[in-house]
Formats: sequence, structure tokens, C-alpha cells
Amino acid sequence: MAELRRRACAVIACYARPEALDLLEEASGCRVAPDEALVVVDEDAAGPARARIHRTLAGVDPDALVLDATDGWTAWSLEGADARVAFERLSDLPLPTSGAVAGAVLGIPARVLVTAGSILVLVTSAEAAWWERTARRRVPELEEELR
Amino acid sequence: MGHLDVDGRPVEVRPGDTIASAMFRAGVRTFTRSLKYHRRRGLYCLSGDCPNCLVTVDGVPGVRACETPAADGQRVRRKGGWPSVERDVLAVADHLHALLPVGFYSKTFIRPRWAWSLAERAIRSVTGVGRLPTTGPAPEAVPLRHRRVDVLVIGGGVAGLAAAAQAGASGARVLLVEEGRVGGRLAPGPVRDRVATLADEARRAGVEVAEGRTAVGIYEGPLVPVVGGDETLRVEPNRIVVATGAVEEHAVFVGNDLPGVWLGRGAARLAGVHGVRPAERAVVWARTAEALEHVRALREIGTEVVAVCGPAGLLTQLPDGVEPIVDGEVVRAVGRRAVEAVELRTPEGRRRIACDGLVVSLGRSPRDGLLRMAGDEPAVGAGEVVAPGCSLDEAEASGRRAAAGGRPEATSCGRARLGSDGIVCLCEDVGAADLDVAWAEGWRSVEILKRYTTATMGPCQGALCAPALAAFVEGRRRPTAAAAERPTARPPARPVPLAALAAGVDELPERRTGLHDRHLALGARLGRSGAWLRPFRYGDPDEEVRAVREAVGLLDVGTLGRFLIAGPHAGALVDRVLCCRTDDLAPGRSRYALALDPGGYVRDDGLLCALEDGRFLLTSTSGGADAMEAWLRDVADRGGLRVHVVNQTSWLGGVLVAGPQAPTLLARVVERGPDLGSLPPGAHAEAVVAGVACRALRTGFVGGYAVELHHRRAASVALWDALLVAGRDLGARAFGLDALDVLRLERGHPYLGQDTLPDDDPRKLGLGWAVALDKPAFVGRSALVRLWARPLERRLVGVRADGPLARGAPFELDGAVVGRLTSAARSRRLGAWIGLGWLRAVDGAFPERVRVAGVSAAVVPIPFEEAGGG
Amino acid sequence: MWHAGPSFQAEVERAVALKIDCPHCGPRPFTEFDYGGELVLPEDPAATLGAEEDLRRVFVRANVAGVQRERWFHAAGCRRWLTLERDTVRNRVVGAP
Repeated sequence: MAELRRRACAVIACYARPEALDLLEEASGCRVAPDEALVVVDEDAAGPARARIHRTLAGVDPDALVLDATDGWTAWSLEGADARVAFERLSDLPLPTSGAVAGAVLGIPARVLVTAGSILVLVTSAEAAWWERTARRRVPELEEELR
Repeated sequence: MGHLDVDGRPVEVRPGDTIASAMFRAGVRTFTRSLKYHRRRGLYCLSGDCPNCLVTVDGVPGVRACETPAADGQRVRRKGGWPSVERDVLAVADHLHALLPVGFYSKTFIRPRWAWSLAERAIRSVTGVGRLPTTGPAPEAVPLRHRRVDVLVIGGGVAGLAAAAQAGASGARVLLVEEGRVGGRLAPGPVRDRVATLADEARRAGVEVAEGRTAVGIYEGPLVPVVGGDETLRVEPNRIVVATGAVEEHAVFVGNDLPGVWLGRGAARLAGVHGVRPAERAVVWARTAEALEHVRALREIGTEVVAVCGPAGLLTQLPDGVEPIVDGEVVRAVGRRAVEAVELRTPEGRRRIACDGLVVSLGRSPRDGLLRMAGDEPAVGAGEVVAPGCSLDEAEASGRRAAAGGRPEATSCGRARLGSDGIVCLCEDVGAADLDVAWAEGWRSVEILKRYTTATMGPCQGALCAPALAAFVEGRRRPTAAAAERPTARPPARPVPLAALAAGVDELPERRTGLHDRHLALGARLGRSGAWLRPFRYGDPDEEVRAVREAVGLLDVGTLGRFLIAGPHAGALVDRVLCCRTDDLAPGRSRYALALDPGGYVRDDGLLCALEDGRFLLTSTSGGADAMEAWLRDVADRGGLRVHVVNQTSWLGGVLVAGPQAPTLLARVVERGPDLGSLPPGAHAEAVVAGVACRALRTGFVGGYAVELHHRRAASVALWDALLVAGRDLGARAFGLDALDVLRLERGHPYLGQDTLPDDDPRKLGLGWAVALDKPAFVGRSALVRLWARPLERRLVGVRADGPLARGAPFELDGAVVGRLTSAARSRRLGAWIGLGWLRAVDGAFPERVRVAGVSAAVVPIPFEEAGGG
Repeated sequence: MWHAGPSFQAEVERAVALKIDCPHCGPRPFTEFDYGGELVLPEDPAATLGAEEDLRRVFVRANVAGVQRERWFHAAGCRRWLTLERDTVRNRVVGAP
């Protein structure tokens, strides 16, 4: 059993020198590249988180960029006992026990954040509708979003 | 257990039956007709290796009857005969080999040319192994699943199970795939007992045993596609153990494909596993000790084994009542519908023995296609696939060694037996005599013979015939020649249903802007433009054009590429990537910019906007955004520039507000910021429009007054709605790509990619003005210096005509083609057809008139003069 | 006689599963990447090349049958460029310089 549902969250895109990004302590994020990180936080925590991250990064790298990328990404959570099996039907990415990977899910660029309870898949907002339709076609057993 | 429906006849199913065993018990002897000559074919290998039992089951062609469990109500159709497999008038082909000689594709029906199309239709109607269903519901989609394991074991026999058990015991994640059921092909006896013990051991060691799953190839990675079990697996193992076993040698002699000729294991399987007598009276041709097991199994089921021919040592152990024929060899199987007798050559002379079964057990050839296609992937063989004919203990030990990663000791098998004639390739109906002909014609290597005769290229992929083909070549070569190689093994190693291949094939990814639902609500006709789904028209495109020229129109430009470029070397990057001047651009100013490749050719265009703090916003075409990001990063990376390239395309929405009433509309909705209505060309500004924070860019693509409002994607709907409401009395309306096409054509703006060729430098497009050649360095500069030293040979021009112009038509001058029309539209405003196209210089000058599909067109300067100001 | 070398054919097919070890993301199938061709050193911004030299720089590639340095863009992952060494005969990545 697995369910796929839209998750509201805020996405913060951080660009800075590697040694600055190394200082980030945000619990949920993806280190996309040495000089880029994507941090995912609850919507209502976005403002303070952005300010905090900016303080941390700017202390080391005055050119650090901290941007609100929430609109660029759409997040889906895959939950349930068979969440990992469902993910295997969508992607060949090796899933860590916890942590994040950047790679193709259903063939399009995605960021995948794994926590104890769920697999969070971020795809670009432009491709989100196609992605959901295709995911549900690939895994018909996925339960619809509970409303 | 119920009944099968075999060609309309009920066939009883008993527990444990496969479709093949049920049919054979019911008296079916001819299972298929052969591909070319319509020869009768019956059960032969019973291990999924030969094509003889391929039937259509419930509309699915190419099903191996011997591997498919029988179930009540299955509709089984035999293929290849007309009107039926039993009474096949097309079997006349078997007497007309001259019409279908080996290589007939290359040598018959060559002249007259029209003959081939008729012949092809005729040949296609009489050959083949089944018909693809073209009506009825589409088969259900097969799901795809990616698996990662430490060890993948292919084959659930003794060696495979031993390998899996051993690897599992050491803590590895092990997946074992078996195409049938574990032990399912084995009659009661020591082999089956050993398999059962090892299967228990494997399961206790945590091995995942997947039955009914077939590995069909080994690719680099390694990557192993596995089909069956209603899903397609893409397995990525760290190591692979191939334990696919061996198949008994396919001997080539006259009549070797008659129903009633059996491979020993096939006959034993039918007798021992399914309790069905393969023959009443059988002759066994033996060269292995295993053949004695087959003799026992046959006698137990009540088959009279009349005689066994083979080497003297083997024949001393025959039971009473079986005549040993020492050193006897089969030269021919005789019979009309099935075997009626065999002819033997013995030291004492020729003999003929009446029988209805000939069981051949001469040795084994490894089923090693997967192993051979593995190349240097981490794959090892275990058991009979590397040591055909090895003992049970050897197979088990070999499996355990393979689990530890050891390379097995491969033993070579003897050369396959090849008579003067007989069928070499059962699938493709290639006989030994055909190979002789091909050899005589000069096709003298395994690979070339294979291509010319199509031997080994059928559904069985050479499982049986590859050794015979190699033996043929070896036999013909001079003794000094190297041993003949087997033909190259390629995926798929086993037949794969198309649905299994299609698993994981999705529609092309599709991008939507934040205004998608608004377009639908406005009744837009949406279509793909590159990866984006975009509105082409909402109603009459002419009205949409008129709105932009006379009132105000809104276009969704949320598809444009948008890049924020920041960091200490941001200025250096844009200066290097773009061929215009960038150092003089003050914050708030923008400039039309071309990105060239190192060859001086135009990659993309857009607007460069200078922001505060040395940052830039760069736009690109909708289709070019991904490539532009990669290009920016490439130039930065190779140049060692410290920049942040932020692709904001999917973060941002964009609305183009264009037309003479646009300033009025914007004045009504701008809440904070400068008066956008007086924003001059080459300027951009931040403003809050209808509550939405925007960056406004003055642009010129459609002509007249136009502003792009870029904003966060989630606010697109609010902004769009506010603009439409506030502009209602001004005649504001949404316009789509069809109208845009006319609007930009009137301005003479090319669509990059549609109106341009891959080797168009800016001058050819009339965009030389956008190049600052006096800038000391930018990508493509030295190429432009080189190119521009030469006269212009081709350029993009505007054409104007009274008659209709069709995009794609050639430009003609005095009957010669001098160019091509790349865009065309009827401009109501100009009262003429206008278009863009490329034109070649003729004798150093560009023609002033050309003919376009019979219409006379004037070559005119662009922008077309009468187009509105701006 | 012309002979299709079996190893060549097999390698061509294995191209479908070339694996690239991205330093930021780990080993991934090549389908996550865009190919950027042979590594071409950045043009010296200040240099003024003659026509002949410039043509070579733009169009002429070594196209070796063997190990070559080339560029790959990890489009589905980090969206960064990698320079790596690939054996063009075996179609294997053999290292990163």
C-alpha cells in the first residue's frame, strides 16, 4: 500500500561557496552540487529560515544567494508500507535510507528527499501535472490524494 | 481441470500440464508449420529452446506451449498452415525450394522491380510464425520496476540454486530468476531431489526466488532486463551468476525436424514430468550416460525402446530387451506426417527400423547467449553453461564457486554433428544444403553466413543451431584456420512480448505554465510547442492580431527561458557568452542579445537586463532554455568563472502586454513603481501590478508597444485575471501563437530554429547590428572575423506576394532553386502575403524577385515597411 | 572479406547502458546526461586566430578510437558539467582527469 499526495512546502535555493554551504544545518535539503543546495521547509517557516540561512552563508561568502524557489518546484510525498516499491516503479535512482538525491524520476530532473516516514519527490512546477499523471499510470495502485 | 480449445477442438487438461503436454496427450503431433517450407514440426526440446511449439494463446502469438501452464478455457491456435496446420496446401513450398533459395531476398524478384512488391505480399502471407493482433482491446500495460541487488542469479537449476544459497548465506541480497518453475522441467530422480534440497537452502538463506521470469539480456552497467510475472524488471546487480544450463545437441540429418524426433531431455520431461508417452516404439541415439536415464524414463512410461545406437562402452549397461547397435549412427528419419522409421549406418551396413519416435542424446551445448553478451561485465557462468555435461556435484560446486566470485573452469564441448542435409536452423528453415549453397557463393564466415541465410536469427536466437553453424564453418575451412567463432550473442536471448518491452514507455514530458487552466477556461486550442503545451488560438487569430495592433493583447510568455546570473564573475560570463556590448549596461537597462557558438553561428537570442549589484537577468527563447542553461554553465566552467547561474524558468510566470492601449491598461493596474506606459525601449523596471510584484521588460518582438511582466509563477492567475478585467473596455484579449506568428512576421523577426539554419551567423539573419565586433573577446568572435571577410552567400530575406505563400516552398529563379520559404502568413494589415526565407546570392547579387510555388514574390527589406511603429 | 567484428557490434549495443560516475550525484545511467563532445580548451579571448587555425579550432576533432577526454552535462541531476575520460572503443568511462 502506498499513497501519493501533493505536499505544500517552501523551497529555498542556496548558492554559495562550498565551505559556506557546508555550514548549513537545515534538516531537510539536497546538496545539489558543491555550490548549490536546496532546502525544504514548512511553508510558515519559510521567512525565518531564509533569513537564518542567509546569515549563515553571508558570514562566509558575501556573494551567497538565497532565493525563494517555492514556485519552481512541486513536491509529492510517497508514503505507506510499499512506498519504496512504488518508487522502484518510477525511477532507477538508488534511494538512501535517509538523505537526498538529485536525478531522474520518470525521466525528468527531480530532487528526492527521504525521511523515515516518506519519500518526498520534487519536480519542476511546469512538469508537475505530467509527472503526477504519469506516476499514477505507472503505479495504478497508488491511492488518490485524500481530500 | 477443464479443457483447452485447440483450433476449436476440446483438449483435456490434467494437473501439472503445460499447453504442450496437454495437446500431445490428446494426440496432437504437428504443433506448427515451419517458416518457409511449411514442414510439419512437433515437440522437440521441451525446454523453451526451439520454435516448434510456438502457438497463439488467447490472441497472443509466439507463446511457447512447452513453458506455459495449461489453464481451463485457453484458446490455442496453431500457426503457419493454410487452411490449417494439419492440412496445409502451402506445404507445396517444401517441393519448390528453388523459389525460395537461400538469400532469396538478394537474388530473386530483382527484375522487373514491380515484381518484388507482389512477391513480398505473397511471401508475407504464407510465411511467419503468427499474426499480431490488430483489433480488439490493447493489451494491458506492463509495469516497469527497477531493482538493485548484490547478486542476480539467472537460472534455477542445481548450479544456480547453489550459487544463490551460497551468496545468500554470506549476507548478500540475492535475486534468482527462473523462467519456468524451479525443478519444473525435471522428472523424479536425483537431479530433482538435489534441486529441491538446494531450493530449500536458498530460501532459508534469504534468497528471493522469482519464478516465471526470464532474463533477456545483459547490458553494460550491468543492467539485466527481466520479463515475466506481469512486470518488467530492470535489475542492476553488482554481480551476475549465469546458470542457464545446456540444451541437448541439435543433430543435423535428413528428416531431423520430423515430428517424433526428440531431444532426449524433452522426451524424458514429457514422460517423467507429465506422464505422457512420447512414442510407442522408440529408437535412441546415444552418446552420453544421461541417455541411459532417458531410456529408463521412456520404458517406465511404457514406451518400447527398440534399439539404442551409440558407443560400445555405453551400450553395455542397457536393460534386457533393448537391442544395442554399437557405433550405429542415424542418417535419416523417414515419415510423411511423423517419424515412421529411421535409417541407420552401422559397421555392418545400413539398417532401417520402424518406429514412431527417435530420441537423440548426443551431448550438450551450453545455453550461453547471456554469458557471451556479458562482455566484461561482472558475470560468471556456473554449471552446465560453462561445463556442459558436468555431474551434479560438479554443478553444485561450480555454483558455490561462482557465488564467491570465482571464474569457472570452462570445458569445451564437442563439435556438433552435421549430416549431408537436414535442418540446421529450425526457426528460419535453413538446411545444411542451403549453407552449402551460401558457402559456394562465397559467404564464408559465421557472421556473414548468418546474415545471408538468416540461420540463428529466429525466435530461438541460435540456442540450438549456433553450434551447428559453427561446426559447418569449421568443417569447410582449411585445417590451419582458426576455430570458427559462434555468432555474436545479442539481446533478447529469449522471445519478449512487445508489451514487456514497452514497459516504462511514457508519453513525452509536457510542460505547462501557471496559466494552463485559464487557457482552458478561455476555450484555447492548446498544442505542443517544444516541450510546452501552449495556446495557439482562443478564437479567430485575425481578431487576436487586430487586438494587438489596435487595442491590447495578452500573451502567456511563462515559457521563456529566464536566468539569474550572479556572483563575482557574472559580468565576465555574460560578456563572453553574448556578442553584444554588456559593460555599458547600467542597472535598469536591457539589450537584445545573441549567443553564438564557437563557429559564430547563432545559438539563441534573448534580452540581457542589468540588475543591481552586478547581477543580470537573461531571457532566452522558450525552446532554447535548457540548452542556454547548459551553455552558460559550460562557458563559465571551462573559463573558470565563479558565477551562480540560476535557471528561474519554472519559478516565474510571464505575461506579454502588447498594443497601443497597453500603456493605458498598465496605468490602471500598476500600484507601485514607475509608469510602465512610458518605459522606453531598452529599459526594464520593478513594479507591483495588480498586487503582483513584477519585473517589467520593454520588448519589441511583436512591434509597437509591448511589455513583458515576469513574476512568481503562483501569482500568474491573479495578474492575468486583473489585466483582462481592467482592460475589458479597452478591447483587451488573449492571443495565441497563431496570432503571434503573424505579428512577429510583420516585424520580420525570425523564429530561431524555424527560420534559421544551423550555420547562420548574425549577418546572414540581418542581425549584424547586434554584434559588437569591436569587443575584444566573446564566444564566436574569431569565427565571425573569418566569416565576415567573405562575401555573403546566403541570407534571410522578407518576401511579399499577392498570391498565397506556403511555408517550405522553394524560391525559384529562372527554374533554379535559390532558396526556401521558412515562414509565411497573410497579413491583413498589409493586405498581402508575407514571409521569411533564406535566399542565395546569384552571381554575387541577391535576386529582387523570386517565384514561390508559382507565385511571384518580391524580396523586400525587413521589417516590412508598413508595419506599425514602435 | 569485409567482416563485422563481433566485439564492435556488442559494444554498440552496450552503449544503451553506459554508466557515468558523477562526482556530485554518484553513478548514473548516461540517459541522465547530455553529451558535450570532446573537451575543447576555452578559446583564448585575446587571441586573434588566423582563418586556418580558427577553422581547426571550430571543426576539427581528434575522434580517437581509444581514450578521449570529453564533456558531459548532468541534466537530470546536479546540472553541472563533468570532464571525464571515456574509452570510445569499449564505451566505458575510464577516469576523470
